Amino acid sequence: MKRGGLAIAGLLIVSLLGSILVAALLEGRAAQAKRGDEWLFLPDARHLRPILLGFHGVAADLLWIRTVQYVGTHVETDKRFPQLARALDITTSLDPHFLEPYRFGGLYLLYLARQPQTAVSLLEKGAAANPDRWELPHDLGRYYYLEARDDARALGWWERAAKLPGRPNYLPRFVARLYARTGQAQTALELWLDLYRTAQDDSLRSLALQEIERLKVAHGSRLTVDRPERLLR
Amino acid sequence: MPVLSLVEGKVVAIALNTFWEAVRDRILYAILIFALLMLAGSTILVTISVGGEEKIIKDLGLASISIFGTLIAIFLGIALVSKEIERRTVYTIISKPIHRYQFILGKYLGLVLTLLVNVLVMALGLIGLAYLWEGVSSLRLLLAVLFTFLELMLVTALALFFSTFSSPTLSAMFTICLFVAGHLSPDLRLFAARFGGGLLRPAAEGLYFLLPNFSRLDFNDQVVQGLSVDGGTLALSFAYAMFYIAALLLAAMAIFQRRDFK
Repeated sequence: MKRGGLAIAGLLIVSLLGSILVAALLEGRAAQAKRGDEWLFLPDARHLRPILLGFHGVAADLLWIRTVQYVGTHVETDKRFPQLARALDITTSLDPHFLEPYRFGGLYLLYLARQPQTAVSLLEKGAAANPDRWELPHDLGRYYYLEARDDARALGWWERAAKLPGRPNYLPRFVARLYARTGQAQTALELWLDLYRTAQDDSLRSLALQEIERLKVAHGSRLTVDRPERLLR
Repeated sequence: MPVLSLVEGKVVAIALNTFWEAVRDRILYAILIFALLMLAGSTILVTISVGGEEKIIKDLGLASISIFGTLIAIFLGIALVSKEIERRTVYTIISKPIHRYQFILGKYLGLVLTLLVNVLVMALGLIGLAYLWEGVSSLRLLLAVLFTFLELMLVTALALFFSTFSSPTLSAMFTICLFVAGHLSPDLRLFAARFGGGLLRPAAEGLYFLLPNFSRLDFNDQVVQGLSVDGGTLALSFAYAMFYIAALLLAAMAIFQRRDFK
Protein backbone atom coordinates (compact mmCIF):
# COMPACT_ATOMS: atom_id res chain seq x y z
CA MET A 1 0.00 0.00 0.00
CA LYS A 2 2.83 2.31 0.97
CA ARG A 3 4.71 1.32 -2.19
CA GLY A 4 1.64 1.96 -4.31
CA GLY A 5 1.27 5.41 -2.77
CA LEU A 6 4.90 6.24 -3.48
CA ALA A 7 4.55 5.05 -7.08
CA ILE A 8 1.49 7.28 -7.59
CA ALA A 9 3.33 10.26 -6.06
CA GLY A 10 6.33 9.58 -8.34
CA LEU A 11 4.11 9.32 -11.43
CA LEU A 12 2.34 12.52 -10.42
CA ILE A 13 5.64 14.42 -10.19
CA VAL A 14 6.84 12.99 -13.53
CA SER A 15 3.54 13.93 -15.21
CA LEU A 16 3.65 17.46 -13.81
CA LEU A 17 7.27 17.97 -14.85
CA GLY A 18 6.46 16.51 -18.29
CA SER A 19 3.57 18.92 -18.81
CA ILE A 20 5.74 21.90 -17.75
CA LEU A 21 8.56 20.78 -20.10
CA VAL A 22 6.21 20.36 -23.09
CA ALA A 23 4.56 23.71 -22.32
CA ALA A 24 7.99 25.38 -22.34
CA LEU A 25 8.83 23.72 -25.70
CA LEU A 26 5.52 24.89 -27.18
CA GLU A 27 6.18 28.39 -25.83
CA GLY A 28 9.48 28.49 -27.71
CA ARG A 29 7.74 27.44 -30.94
CA ALA A 30 5.03 30.07 -30.49
CA ALA A 31 7.67 32.78 -30.04
CA GLN A 32 9.22 31.78 -33.37
CA ALA A 33 5.86 32.04 -35.16
CA LYS A 34 5.34 35.09 -37.33
CA ARG A 35 4.24 38.07 -35.27
CA GLY A 36 1.15 39.96 -36.35
CA ASP A 37 -1.00 36.96 -37.10
CA GLU A 38 -2.92 37.30 -33.85
CA TRP A 39 -6.06 38.75 -35.42
CA LEU A 40 -6.17 36.79 -38.67
CA PHE A 41 -8.67 34.24 -37.43
CA LEU A 42 -11.06 36.63 -35.76
CA PRO A 43 -14.28 37.01 -37.80
CA ASP A 44 -15.77 40.37 -38.75
CA ALA A 45 -17.72 42.19 -36.03
CA ARG A 46 -21.05 41.59 -37.81
CA HIS A 47 -20.44 37.84 -37.59
CA LEU A 48 -18.88 38.02 -34.14
CA ARG A 49 -21.63 40.08 -32.51
CA PRO A 50 -24.45 37.47 -32.62
CA ILE A 51 -22.36 34.71 -31.07
CA LEU A 52 -21.41 36.94 -28.13
CA LEU A 53 -24.99 36.61 -26.80
CA GLY A 54 -25.27 40.21 -25.64
CA PHE A 55 -21.76 40.41 -24.15
CA HIS A 56 -20.39 42.53 -27.04
CA GLY A 57 -19.47 45.36 -24.64
CA VAL A 58 -17.21 43.06 -22.60
CA ALA A 59 -15.79 41.57 -25.81
CA ALA A 60 -14.92 45.09 -27.02
CA ASP A 61 -13.21 45.82 -23.67
CA LEU A 62 -11.14 42.63 -23.87
CA LEU A 63 -10.25 43.25 -27.52
CA TRP A 64 -9.17 46.79 -26.65
CA ILE A 65 -6.89 45.52 -23.87
CA ARG A 66 -5.51 42.97 -26.33
CA THR A 67 -4.96 45.72 -28.92
CA VAL A 68 -3.00 47.77 -26.39
CA GLN A 69 -0.83 44.69 -25.67
CA TYR A 70 -0.40 44.12 -29.44
CA VAL A 71 0.80 47.70 -29.91
CA GLY A 72 3.12 47.43 -26.92
CA THR A 73 4.67 44.18 -28.17
CA HIS A 74 5.27 45.50 -31.69
CA VAL A 75 6.63 48.83 -30.46
CA GLU A 76 9.29 46.87 -28.62
CA THR A 77 10.04 44.52 -31.52
CA ASP A 78 9.52 45.08 -35.26
CA LYS A 79 7.58 48.38 -35.08
CA ARG A 80 5.14 47.00 -37.66
CA PHE A 81 1.40 46.95 -37.01
CA PRO A 82 -0.25 45.01 -39.85
CA GLN A 83 -3.34 43.99 -37.85
CA LEU A 84 -3.88 47.21 -35.88
CA ALA A 85 -6.51 48.75 -38.18
CA ARG A 86 -8.48 45.49 -38.26
CA ALA A 87 -8.33 45.10 -34.47
CA LEU A 88 -9.58 48.66 -33.97
CA ASP A 89 -12.32 48.21 -36.54
CA ILE A 90 -13.63 45.06 -34.83
CA THR A 91 -13.42 46.67 -31.38
CA THR A 92 -15.27 49.83 -32.42
CA SER A 93 -17.88 47.86 -34.37
CA LEU A 94 -18.60 45.71 -31.31
CA ASP A 95 -19.06 48.78 -29.14
CA PRO A 96 -19.50 51.94 -31.25
CA HIS A 97 -19.79 54.15 -28.13
CA PHE A 98 -16.46 53.10 -26.59
CA LEU A 99 -14.41 56.27 -27.21
CA GLU A 100 -10.89 55.16 -26.20
CA PRO A 101 -10.31 52.80 -29.15
CA TYR A 102 -11.13 55.69 -31.53
CA ARG A 103 -9.04 58.27 -29.68
CA PHE A 104 -5.97 56.26 -28.67
CA GLY A 105 -6.35 53.95 -31.68
CA GLY A 106 -6.33 57.01 -33.94
CA LEU A 107 -3.06 58.15 -32.33
CA TYR A 108 -1.51 54.67 -32.70
CA LEU A 109 -2.50 54.55 -36.37
CA LEU A 110 -1.24 58.05 -37.02
CA TYR A 111 2.04 58.14 -35.14
CA LEU A 112 3.07 54.48 -34.83
CA ALA A 113 1.60 52.70 -37.86
CA ARG A 114 1.86 55.81 -40.07
CA GLN A 115 -1.58 55.22 -41.57
CA PRO A 116 -3.13 58.71 -41.50
CA GLN A 117 -6.02 57.89 -43.83
CA THR A 118 -7.04 54.89 -41.72
CA ALA A 119 -6.76 57.03 -38.57
CA VAL A 120 -9.06 59.65 -40.11
CA SER A 121 -11.55 56.97 -41.22
CA LEU A 122 -11.59 55.53 -37.70
CA LEU A 123 -12.18 58.94 -36.11
CA GLU A 124 -14.88 59.77 -38.68
CA LYS A 125 -16.56 56.45 -37.91
CA GLY A 126 -16.50 57.40 -34.22
CA ALA A 127 -17.82 60.92 -34.87
CA ALA A 128 -20.71 59.48 -36.90
CA ALA A 129 -21.58 56.93 -34.19
CA ASN A 130 -21.30 59.48 -31.36
CA PRO A 131 -22.70 62.78 -32.68
CA ASP A 132 -23.11 64.19 -29.15
CA ARG A 133 -19.46 63.72 -28.11
CA TRP A 134 -16.98 66.54 -28.65
CA GLU A 135 -13.87 64.34 -28.36
CA LEU A 136 -13.86 62.84 -31.87
CA PRO A 137 -14.46 66.02 -33.92
CA HIS A 138 -11.86 67.61 -31.64
CA ASP A 139 -9.28 64.92 -32.53
CA LEU A 140 -10.12 65.19 -36.22
CA GLY A 141 -9.61 68.96 -36.03
CA ARG A 142 -6.26 68.40 -34.31
CA TYR A 143 -5.18 66.01 -37.08
CA TYR A 144 -6.10 68.46 -39.86
CA TYR A 145 -4.49 71.37 -38.02
CA LEU A 146 -1.24 69.75 -36.89
CA GLU A 147 -0.61 67.00 -39.43
CA ALA A 148 -2.50 67.71 -42.66
CA ARG A 149 -2.06 71.51 -42.27
CA ASP A 150 -5.57 71.96 -43.62
CA ASP A 151 -6.98 74.90 -41.67
CA ALA A 152 -10.35 74.87 -43.41
CA ARG A 153 -11.04 71.26 -42.45
CA ALA A 154 -9.62 71.75 -38.95
CA LEU A 155 -11.97 74.69 -38.56
CA GLY A 156 -14.96 72.61 -39.70
CA TRP A 157 -14.32 69.88 -37.12
CA TRP A 158 -13.43 72.23 -34.25
CA GLU A 159 -16.46 74.35 -34.92
CA ARG A 160 -18.58 71.23 -34.64
CA ALA A 161 -16.80 70.15 -31.43
CA ALA A 162 -17.13 73.65 -29.91
CA LYS A 163 -20.93 73.38 -30.08
CA LEU A 164 -21.07 70.13 -28.12
CA PRO A 165 -21.56 69.82 -24.34
CA GLY A 166 -18.49 69.31 -22.16
CA ARG A 167 -16.01 70.65 -24.74
CA PRO A 168 -12.76 72.16 -23.42
CA ASN A 169 -12.68 75.91 -22.84
CA TYR A 170 -9.92 76.45 -25.39
CA LEU A 171 -11.98 75.22 -28.35
CA PRO A 172 -13.89 78.48 -29.03
CA ARG A 173 -10.49 80.26 -28.95
CA PHE A 174 -9.09 77.86 -31.54
CA VAL A 175 -12.15 78.36 -33.72
CA ALA A 176 -11.89 82.15 -33.53
CA ARG A 177 -8.17 82.06 -34.39
CA LEU A 178 -8.78 79.76 -37.34
CA TYR A 179 -11.48 82.04 -38.68
CA ALA A 180 -8.93 84.86 -38.63
CA ARG A 181 -6.29 82.67 -40.28
CA THR A 182 -8.63 81.46 -43.01
CA GLY A 183 -9.42 85.06 -43.88
CA GLN A 184 -12.80 85.21 -42.22
CA ALA A 185 -11.95 88.14 -39.97
CA GLN A 186 -15.57 89.19 -39.57
CA THR A 187 -16.60 85.83 -38.05
CA ALA A 188 -13.42 85.72 -36.00
CA LEU A 189 -14.19 89.10 -34.49
CA GLU A 190 -17.72 88.06 -33.54
CA LEU A 191 -16.43 84.88 -31.93
CA TRP A 192 -13.79 86.77 -29.92
CA LEU A 193 -16.40 89.26 -28.80
CA ASP A 194 -18.69 86.46 -27.70
CA LEU A 195 -15.80 84.82 -25.87
CA TYR A 196 -14.98 88.11 -24.16
CA ARG A 197 -18.54 88.51 -22.94
CA THR A 198 -18.92 84.91 -21.72
CA ALA A 199 -15.39 84.37 -20.33
CA GLN A 200 -15.32 83.32 -16.67
CA ASP A 201 -11.77 84.46 -15.90
CA ASP A 202 -9.70 87.59 -16.52
CA SER A 203 -6.90 85.87 -18.42
CA LEU A 204 -9.34 84.64 -21.08
CA ARG A 205 -10.96 88.06 -21.25
CA SER A 206 -7.61 89.79 -21.75
CA LEU A 207 -6.67 87.21 -24.41
CA ALA A 208 -9.94 87.91 -26.23
CA LEU A 209 -9.31 91.65 -26.01
CA GLN A 210 -5.80 91.22 -27.35
CA GLU A 211 -7.09 89.21 -30.34
CA ILE A 212 -9.79 91.78 -31.03
CA GLU A 213 -7.16 94.50 -31.07
CA ARG A 214 -5.03 92.47 -33.45
CA LEU A 215 -7.96 91.92 -35.80
CA LYS A 216 -8.72 95.65 -35.64
CA VAL A 217 -5.18 96.46 -36.69
CA ALA A 218 -5.13 93.91 -39.50
CA HIS A 219 -8.65 94.26 -40.89
CA GLY A 220 -10.11 97.30 -39.13
CA SER A 221 -11.42 99.08 -42.20
CA ARG A 222 -13.12 95.97 -43.57
CA LEU A 223 -14.92 94.95 -40.38
CA THR A 224 -18.62 95.77 -40.47
CA VAL A 225 -19.43 94.97 -36.87
CA ASP A 226 -19.74 97.98 -34.62
CA ARG A 227 -16.43 99.19 -33.26
CA PRO A 228 -15.20 96.51 -30.88
CA GLU A 229 -14.03 98.86 -28.15
CA ARG A 230 -17.51 100.39 -27.99
CA LEU A 231 -19.11 96.98 -27.81
CA LEU A 232 -16.83 95.96 -25.03
CA ARG A 233 -17.57 98.94 -22.87
CA MET B 1 -60.14 37.92 1.88
CA PRO B 2 -59.29 35.10 4.37
CA VAL B 3 -59.24 32.68 1.40
CA LEU B 4 -56.75 34.92 -0.39
CA SER B 5 -54.52 35.19 2.66
CA LEU B 6 -54.64 31.40 3.05
CA VAL B 7 -53.55 30.96 -0.58
CA GLU B 8 -50.84 33.58 -0.14
CA GLY B 9 -49.73 31.93 3.07
CA LYS B 10 -49.27 28.57 1.33
CA VAL B 11 -47.38 30.11 -1.59
CA VAL B 12 -45.18 32.09 0.78
CA ALA B 13 -44.49 28.99 2.89
CA ILE B 14 -43.35 27.03 -0.21
CA ALA B 15 -41.34 30.03 -1.45
CA LEU B 16 -39.52 30.44 1.86
CA ASN B 17 -38.89 26.72 2.06
CA THR B 18 -37.42 26.77 -1.48
CA PHE B 19 -35.31 29.80 -0.59
CA TRP B 20 -33.82 28.20 2.56
CA GLU B 21 -33.23 24.97 0.67
CA ALA B 22 -31.34 26.88 -2.06
CA VAL B 23 -29.38 28.85 0.51
CA ARG B 24 -28.13 25.55 1.97
CA ASP B 25 -26.89 24.50 -1.48
CA ARG B 26 -23.09 24.76 -1.61
CA ILE B 27 -23.07 25.37 -5.38
CA LEU B 28 -24.76 28.72 -4.75
CA TYR B 29 -21.85 29.91 -2.61
CA ALA B 30 -19.29 28.61 -5.10
CA ILE B 31 -20.98 30.58 -7.91
CA LEU B 32 -21.26 33.71 -5.74
CA ILE B 33 -17.59 33.53 -4.73
CA PHE B 34 -16.57 33.14 -8.40
CA ALA B 35 -18.70 36.17 -9.33
CA LEU B 36 -17.16 38.33 -6.60
CA LEU B 37 -13.67 37.15 -7.57
CA MET B 38 -14.37 38.09 -11.21
CA LEU B 39 -15.50 41.54 -10.04
CA ALA B 40 -12.30 41.99 -8.04
CA GLY B 41 -10.25 40.58 -10.93
CA SER B 42 -11.52 43.33 -13.25
CA THR B 43 -9.48 45.87 -11.24
CA ILE B 44 -6.31 43.94 -12.10
CA LEU B 45 -7.30 43.68 -15.77
CA VAL B 46 -7.83 47.43 -16.19
CA THR B 47 -4.26 48.16 -15.13
CA ILE B 48 -3.07 46.89 -18.52
CA SER B 49 -5.59 48.97 -20.48
CA VAL B 50 -5.14 52.48 -21.85
CA GLY B 51 -8.22 54.51 -20.88
CA GLY B 52 -11.77 53.32 -20.38
CA GLU B 53 -11.05 51.76 -16.97
CA GLU B 54 -14.43 52.71 -15.46
CA LYS B 55 -16.26 51.31 -18.47
CA ILE B 56 -14.33 48.04 -18.34
CA ILE B 57 -15.02 47.58 -14.61
CA LYS B 58 -18.74 48.26 -15.09
CA ASP B 59 -19.00 46.06 -18.20
CA LEU B 60 -17.25 43.14 -16.52
CA GLY B 61 -19.28 43.59 -13.33
CA LEU B 62 -22.60 43.57 -15.18
CA ALA B 63 -21.47 40.59 -17.27
CA SER B 64 -20.53 38.71 -14.05
CA ILE B 65 -23.98 39.35 -12.59
CA SER B 66 -25.59 38.13 -15.80
CA ILE B 67 -23.41 35.04 -16.35
CA PHE B 68 -23.36 33.80 -12.75
CA GLY B 69 -27.01 34.71 -12.21
CA THR B 70 -27.93 32.69 -15.32
CA LEU B 71 -25.95 29.72 -13.98
CA ILE B 72 -27.86 29.90 -10.69
CA ALA B 73 -31.19 30.33 -12.49
CA ILE B 74 -30.59 27.32 -14.77
CA PHE B 75 -28.97 24.88 -12.35
CA LEU B 76 -31.31 25.55 -9.45
CA GLY B 77 -34.33 26.13 -11.72
CA ILE B 78 -34.20 22.76 -13.48
CA ALA B 79 -34.11 20.93 -10.14
CA LEU B 80 -37.07 22.79 -8.64
CA VAL B 81 -39.73 20.24 -9.58
CA SER B 82 -37.68 17.26 -10.74
CA LYS B 83 -35.85 16.99 -7.40
CA GLU B 84 -39.18 16.81 -5.57
CA ILE B 85 -40.31 14.03 -7.93
CA GLU B 86 -37.00 12.19 -7.64
CA ARG B 87 -37.04 12.31 -3.85
CA ARG B 88 -40.76 11.48 -3.92
CA THR B 89 -41.44 14.43 -1.63
CA VAL B 90 -43.91 15.66 -4.24
CA TYR B 91 -46.37 12.93 -3.11
CA THR B 92 -46.36 14.34 0.43
CA ILE B 93 -46.89 17.86 -0.86
CA ILE B 94 -49.72 17.16 -3.30
CA SER B 95 -51.53 15.01 -0.75
CA LYS B 96 -51.85 18.10 1.46
CA PRO B 97 -54.61 20.69 0.98
CA ILE B 98 -52.61 22.65 -1.50
CA HIS B 99 -53.22 23.38 -5.16
CA ARG B 100 -50.61 22.35 -7.66
CA TYR B 101 -50.46 25.86 -9.09
CA GLN B 102 -49.61 27.13 -5.60
CA PHE B 103 -46.75 24.66 -5.47
CA ILE B 104 -45.36 25.88 -8.85
CA LEU B 105 -45.80 29.55 -7.92
CA GLY B 106 -44.18 29.05 -4.51
CA LYS B 107 -41.23 27.20 -6.03
CA TYR B 108 -40.74 29.96 -8.61
CA LEU B 109 -40.94 32.78 -6.09
CA GLY B 110 -38.53 30.96 -3.77
CA LEU B 111 -35.88 30.76 -6.47
CA VAL B 112 -36.53 34.35 -7.54
CA LEU B 113 -35.93 35.40 -3.92
CA THR B 114 -32.66 33.44 -3.92
CA LEU B 115 -31.63 35.17 -7.14
CA LEU B 116 -32.61 38.56 -5.76
CA VAL B 117 -30.34 38.11 -2.74
CA ASN B 118 -27.45 36.96 -4.95
CA VAL B 119 -27.92 39.75 -7.49
CA LEU B 120 -28.08 42.32 -4.69
CA VAL B 121 -24.82 41.04 -3.18
CA MET B 122 -23.11 41.18 -6.61
CA ALA B 123 -24.63 44.60 -7.43
CA LEU B 124 -23.46 46.06 -4.12
CA GLY B 125 -20.00 44.68 -4.85
CA LEU B 126 -20.02 46.31 -8.30
CA ILE B 127 -21.35 49.68 -7.12
CA GLY B 128 -18.80 49.69 -4.27
CA LEU B 129 -15.98 48.88 -6.69
CA ALA B 130 -17.11 51.57 -9.15
CA TYR B 131 -17.25 54.05 -6.24
CA LEU B 132 -13.73 53.15 -5.12
CA TRP B 133 -12.46 53.57 -8.69
CA GLU B 134 -14.32 56.72 -9.75
CA GLY B 135 -14.94 58.39 -6.40
CA VAL B 136 -18.58 58.99 -7.32
CA SER B 137 -21.55 56.70 -6.74
CA SER B 138 -22.78 54.95 -9.89
CA LEU B 139 -26.35 54.36 -8.79
CA ARG B 140 -27.45 54.38 -12.44
CA LEU B 141 -25.96 50.88 -12.58
CA LEU B 142 -29.01 49.74 -10.62
CA LEU B 143 -31.11 50.25 -13.75
CA ALA B 144 -28.95 47.79 -15.70
CA VAL B 145 -28.99 45.41 -12.71
CA LEU B 146 -32.81 45.60 -12.51
CA PHE B 147 -33.18 44.54 -16.14
CA THR B 148 -30.53 41.83 -15.73
CA PHE B 149 -32.61 40.55 -12.81
CA LEU B 150 -35.71 40.54 -15.05
CA GLU B 151 -33.75 38.49 -17.59
CA LEU B 152 -32.82 36.05 -14.82
CA MET B 153 -36.47 35.83 -13.75
CA LEU B 154 -37.32 34.92 -17.33
CA VAL B 155 -34.59 32.26 -17.48
CA THR B 156 -35.85 30.82 -14.16
CA ALA B 157 -39.38 30.65 -15.57
CA LEU B 158 -38.04 28.82 -18.63
CA ALA B 159 -36.11 26.33 -16.47
CA LEU B 160 -39.15 25.75 -14.24
CA PHE B 161 -41.40 25.29 -17.27
CA PHE B 162 -39.15 22.57 -18.72
CA SER B 163 -38.62 20.92 -15.34
CA THR B 164 -42.37 20.24 -15.06
CA PHE B 165 -42.26 17.67 -17.87
CA SER B 166 -38.64 16.58 -18.47
CA SER B 167 -35.55 15.34 -16.68
CA PRO B 168 -33.02 17.83 -15.19
CA THR B 169 -30.49 17.14 -17.98
CA LEU B 170 -33.03 17.73 -20.73
CA SER B 171 -34.44 20.77 -18.91
CA ALA B 172 -30.95 22.27 -18.70
CA MET B 173 -30.37 21.62 -22.41
CA PHE B 174 -33.73 23.12 -23.44
CA THR B 175 -33.21 26.17 -21.21
CA ILE B 176 -29.68 26.79 -22.49
CA CYS B 177 -30.90 26.38 -26.11
CA LEU B 178 -33.70 28.91 -25.56
CA PHE B 179 -31.29 31.24 -23.75
CA VAL B 180 -29.01 31.20 -26.80
CA ALA B 181 -31.93 31.43 -29.24
CA GLY B 182 -33.35 34.34 -27.24
CA HIS B 183 -30.11 36.24 -27.74
CA LEU B 184 -30.01 35.37 -31.44
CA SER B 185 -33.66 36.10 -32.31
CA PRO B 186 -32.99 39.64 -33.67
CA ASP B 187 -30.32 38.15 -35.96
CA LEU B 188 -32.71 35.43 -37.08
CA ARG B 189 -35.14 38.11 -38.20
CA LEU B 190 -32.36 40.03 -39.94
CA PHE B 191 -31.17 36.87 -41.68
CA ALA B 192 -34.67 36.03 -42.90
CA ALA B 193 -35.21 39.60 -44.13
CA ARG B 194 -31.97 39.46 -46.10
CA PHE B 195 -32.03 35.95 -47.50
CA GLY B 196 -35.46 34.54 -46.81
CA GLY B 197 -38.05 33.90 -49.43
CA GLY B 198 -41.37 32.07 -49.52
CA LEU B 199 -42.28 30.63 -46.15
CA LEU B 200 -38.95 31.34 -44.46
CA ARG B 201 -39.59 35.01 -43.84
CA PRO B 202 -43.01 34.66 -42.12
CA ALA B 203 -41.70 31.62 -40.19
CA ALA B 204 -38.68 33.60 -38.95
CA GLU B 205 -40.95 36.53 -38.13
CA GLY B 206 -43.19 34.23 -36.09
CA LEU B 207 -40.23 32.71 -34.27
CA TYR B 208 -38.85 36.18 -33.59
CA PHE B 209 -41.98 37.14 -31.67
CA LEU B 210 -42.41 33.71 -30.06
CA LEU B 211 -38.89 33.23 -28.73
CA PRO B 212 -37.84 35.22 -25.66
CA ASN B 213 -36.03 38.33 -26.87
CA PHE B 214 -33.33 39.03 -24.28
CA SER B 215 -31.97 42.04 -26.18
CA ARG B 216 -35.16 43.88 -25.13
CA LEU B 217 -33.97 43.62 -21.52
CA ASP B 218 -30.39 44.73 -22.16
CA PHE B 219 -29.71 48.34 -21.16
CA ASN B 220 -26.09 47.78 -20.13
CA ASP B 221 -24.61 49.82 -23.01
CA GLN B 222 -26.79 52.84 -22.31
CA VAL B 223 -26.10 52.73 -18.57
CA VAL B 224 -22.34 52.17 -18.83
CA GLN B 225 -21.85 54.78 -21.57
CA GLY B 226 -24.11 57.32 -19.86
CA LEU B 227 -26.49 57.44 -22.82
CA SER B 228 -30.11 58.48 -22.37
CA VAL B 229 -32.71 55.75 -21.91
CA ASP B 230 -36.28 56.33 -23.00
CA GLY B 231 -38.75 55.86 -20.13
CA GLY B 232 -41.41 54.42 -22.46
CA THR B 233 -39.00 51.77 -23.74
CA LEU B 234 -38.10 50.84 -20.15
CA ALA B 235 -41.77 50.49 -19.19
CA LEU B 236 -42.56 48.39 -22.27
CA SER B 237 -39.50 46.17 -21.70
CA PHE B 238 -40.60 45.64 -18.10
CA ALA B 239 -44.11 44.75 -19.28
CA TYR B 240 -42.66 42.39 -21.92
CA ALA B 241 -40.72 40.44 -19.28
CA MET B 242 -43.76 40.26 -16.98
CA PHE B 243 -46.08 38.99 -19.74
CA TYR B 244 -43.56 36.39 -20.90
CA ILE B 245 -42.92 35.15 -17.34
CA ALA B 246 -46.67 34.97 -16.66
CA ALA B 247 -47.20 32.93 -19.86
CA LEU B 248 -44.42 30.48 -18.92
CA LEU B 249 -45.67 30.07 -15.35
CA LEU B 250 -49.23 29.50 -16.54
CA ALA B 251 -48.00 26.87 -19.02
CA ALA B 252 -45.91 25.22 -16.27
CA MET B 253 -48.94 25.18 -13.94
CA ALA B 254 -51.16 23.71 -16.67
CA ILE B 255 -48.66 20.91 -17.40
CA PHE B 256 -48.02 20.16 -13.72
CA GLN B 257 -51.79 20.09 -13.08
CA ARG B 258 -52.21 17.31 -15.65
CA ARG B 259 -49.27 15.21 -14.50
CA ASP B 260 -50.14 11.85 -13.05
CA PHE B 261 -48.16 11.05 -9.91
CA LYS B 262 -49.85 7.70 -9.15
